[in-house]
Amino acid sequence: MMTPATNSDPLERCLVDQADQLAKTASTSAPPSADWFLREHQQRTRRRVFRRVVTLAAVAVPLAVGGFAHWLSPSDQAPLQVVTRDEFRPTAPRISQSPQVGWTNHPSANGGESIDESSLDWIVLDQLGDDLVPVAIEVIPAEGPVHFVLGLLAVGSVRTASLEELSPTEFAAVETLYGSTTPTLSTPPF
Amino acid sequence: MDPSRENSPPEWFEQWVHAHYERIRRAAFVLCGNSADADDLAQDTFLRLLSTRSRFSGKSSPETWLYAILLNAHRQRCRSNQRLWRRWCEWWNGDGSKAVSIAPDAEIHSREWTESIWGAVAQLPVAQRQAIVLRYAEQLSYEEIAEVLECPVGTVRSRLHAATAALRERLPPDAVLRPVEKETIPCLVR
Repeated sequence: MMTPATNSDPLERCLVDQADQLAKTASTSAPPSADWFLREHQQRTRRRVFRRVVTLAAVAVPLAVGGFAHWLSPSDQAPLQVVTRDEFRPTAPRISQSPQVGWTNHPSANGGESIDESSLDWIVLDQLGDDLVPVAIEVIPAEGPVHFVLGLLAVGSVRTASLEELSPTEFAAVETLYGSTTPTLSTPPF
Repeated sequence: MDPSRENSPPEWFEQWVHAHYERIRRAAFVLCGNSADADDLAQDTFLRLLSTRSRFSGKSSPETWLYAILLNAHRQRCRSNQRLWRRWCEWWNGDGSKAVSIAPDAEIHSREWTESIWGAVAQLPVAQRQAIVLRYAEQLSYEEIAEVLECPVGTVRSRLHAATAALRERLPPDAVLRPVEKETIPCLVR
């Protein structure tokens, strides 16, 4: 099978001669036993499988954790979008023409309870995905600290919170609307 | 299947090791230039054979198949070394601008190999270097080299021509015909 190279060229002859010479001078070592090859082969196979599993895990685990965390993340962490009543529900029936009234006071929107509409003065909308969920913030001009009523129309929940109890997002919304966190009825946002 | 044969090497493998290991190891030595790397490369070749034997159709000779595995292993090793070496140079120099362009394992080659024309062959591009080894160290025909390298015979001729031309340019005239003088076991020059 092996066809010797024709070495008429000095360079080619030198390559052949020196390769032969090197083969003679190189320390020869006996091949490892076939059992050694088989053991090493099995170890390599195990290492290769392990590397693939680790690589797969390195990709899949962060993706799974990220997806799970996104699924678990509370929906009210979405940024608030501040709009006026008219922008939110321009066709909503108004109970009164008073500038402080105009929000639909439907029991289904307030967790089955009616809110004192006379004190409603502005609405904050919370953007949740594709659905707009309005958050009504009621400023109650009472004696003592200022209170807010936050109503989530879509989920029908209403709660009352003092200034200190507002979440950072709600706090920022109040600041955006009033320019400060000490709102009074004499300075309505709309 | 006989359970006692499950953890023992197949018969054909022992025959292949017995018949071809010495020749493959010799080619590995000419490629690498030192005994330790030659041993690693030859062993790696036969380990890969265990994984790829099922793809051997018998159209080519076992030697051709083994040479192809050997050269693939060598190519991968060169790439891996170059990457590590480049990173090391970048780290050492602070940036990559002064990266040294010598072979990564130049310092551990045997003296005889470095002083021979094969040391100069090592400076050639990998494709030319492999063609030269197969032609002049292993004495394969052009057709056999083409089969091993999986390229047309014309490409083999072209690579060999380019390689010998490059060698003639790089070597001083007296170096071409100088024989290897020492017939000792190669020592490691660190």
